[in-house]
Amino acid sequence: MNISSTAKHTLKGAGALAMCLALIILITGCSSADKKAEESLFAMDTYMTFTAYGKNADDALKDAKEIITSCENLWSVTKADSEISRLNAAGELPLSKDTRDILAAALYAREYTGGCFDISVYPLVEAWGFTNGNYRVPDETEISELLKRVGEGKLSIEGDKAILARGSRLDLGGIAKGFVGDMVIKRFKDSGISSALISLGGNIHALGSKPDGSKWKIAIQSPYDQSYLGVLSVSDKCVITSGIYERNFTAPDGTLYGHIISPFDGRPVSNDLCSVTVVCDEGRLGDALSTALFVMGGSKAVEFWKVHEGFELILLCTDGTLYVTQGVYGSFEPRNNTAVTNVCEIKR
Amino acid sequence: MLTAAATALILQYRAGSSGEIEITLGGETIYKGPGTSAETKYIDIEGAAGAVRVRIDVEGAAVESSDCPNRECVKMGYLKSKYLPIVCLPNRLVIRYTDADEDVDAVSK
Repeated sequence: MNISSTAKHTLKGAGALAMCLALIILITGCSSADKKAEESLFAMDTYMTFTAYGKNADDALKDAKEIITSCENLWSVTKADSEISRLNAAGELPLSKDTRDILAAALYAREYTGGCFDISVYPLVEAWGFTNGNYRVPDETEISELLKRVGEGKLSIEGDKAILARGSRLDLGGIAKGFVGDMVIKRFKDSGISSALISLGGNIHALGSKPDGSKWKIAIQSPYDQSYLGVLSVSDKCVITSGIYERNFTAPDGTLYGHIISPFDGRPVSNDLCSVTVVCDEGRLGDALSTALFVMGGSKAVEFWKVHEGFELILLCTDGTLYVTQGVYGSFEPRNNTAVTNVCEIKR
Repeated sequence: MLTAAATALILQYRAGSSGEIEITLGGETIYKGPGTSAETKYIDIEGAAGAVRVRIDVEGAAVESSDCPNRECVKMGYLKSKYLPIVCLPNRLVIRYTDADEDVDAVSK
């Protein structure tokens, strides 16, 4: 077949143009499956960021913001008309399904952790000043009185109604971000999103893997500065860290008090742990566990892991030992860090 | 020639962090520019919880002072990572890098 020189030039030009268009698509990743959407939000007393991939990503992120704002309006103790505030004031209240669900999750977490996670600890959190920044050290008499309002049986759910024991009050701060993160991930999945990463004040929920199929790389912050203890490679996991470094105060006598209050003695936890990271499938569990394990202390936290399935741990102790459970040891890359003196794998 | 131009475009796109920062107040961008400065410069911001002064010098960007109750933003020191923005919650202020040259996707804290 004879092709004129003009036609040959045209074909060559078209081929080059096609190649450049392909390169542009490679650069920009314009396929709808990889379409990236990002959002950020101030809510639940923290800063949140969202990244999702897929043709419905923009709408999915709008939905995520609506879910979080709606839940904040239901659960925030700083909003006088939230369901939790009204329950705290009235002692009993019929509740919406979302609030009943999170209270049920909190009750389950309390039982699961032997009382180490307990949302009824709120009066003590308030007494120490962690709700409004007016930090103080309550005396033993005040702590003893407030402890009577904390613990088993202080919250019950009958039908659609929650009932509090006299003087008891609740705060969902230890589980709300994990719970709402689960709701957001479910909405993403329902929207056909299979790759997303959200950070709710440092609580990480990773949906699927990155668009290129590689795992998400999640750094664990050191409790002492902005360096990293290490980097975890995950897909379809939550990575939730607790430490005392972000919310604490120093009393006049020089004692540093962190914001995690023990439901047993009413005092800020002070033990051999300085950072607890939980890796699990559901944020509600991870959020509650990251607090509960801190209350337990290092050796009890390890014992707890050995007899329970469904989560992995990275624990930094005050002596510099970094314990990593066997389920994540192979996917955790420690970084050179002055806070860590040695890294140990824990096996069942 | 077209292929060479496209290649150059790819290389530029894949380049490391530019060090550019963005400061937002209540979601609105109030500064976007270099995250370091040979001469120390200050950005004074009036937020919902009071005045905030941001300093940009040879070491980077930091909140020098804030009228907010807890001053967590001041305690953070210099901005170090795209995934650890400096945040002043009462003022809805965020200081962050606009791109990243890091091998991580998020920070758990």
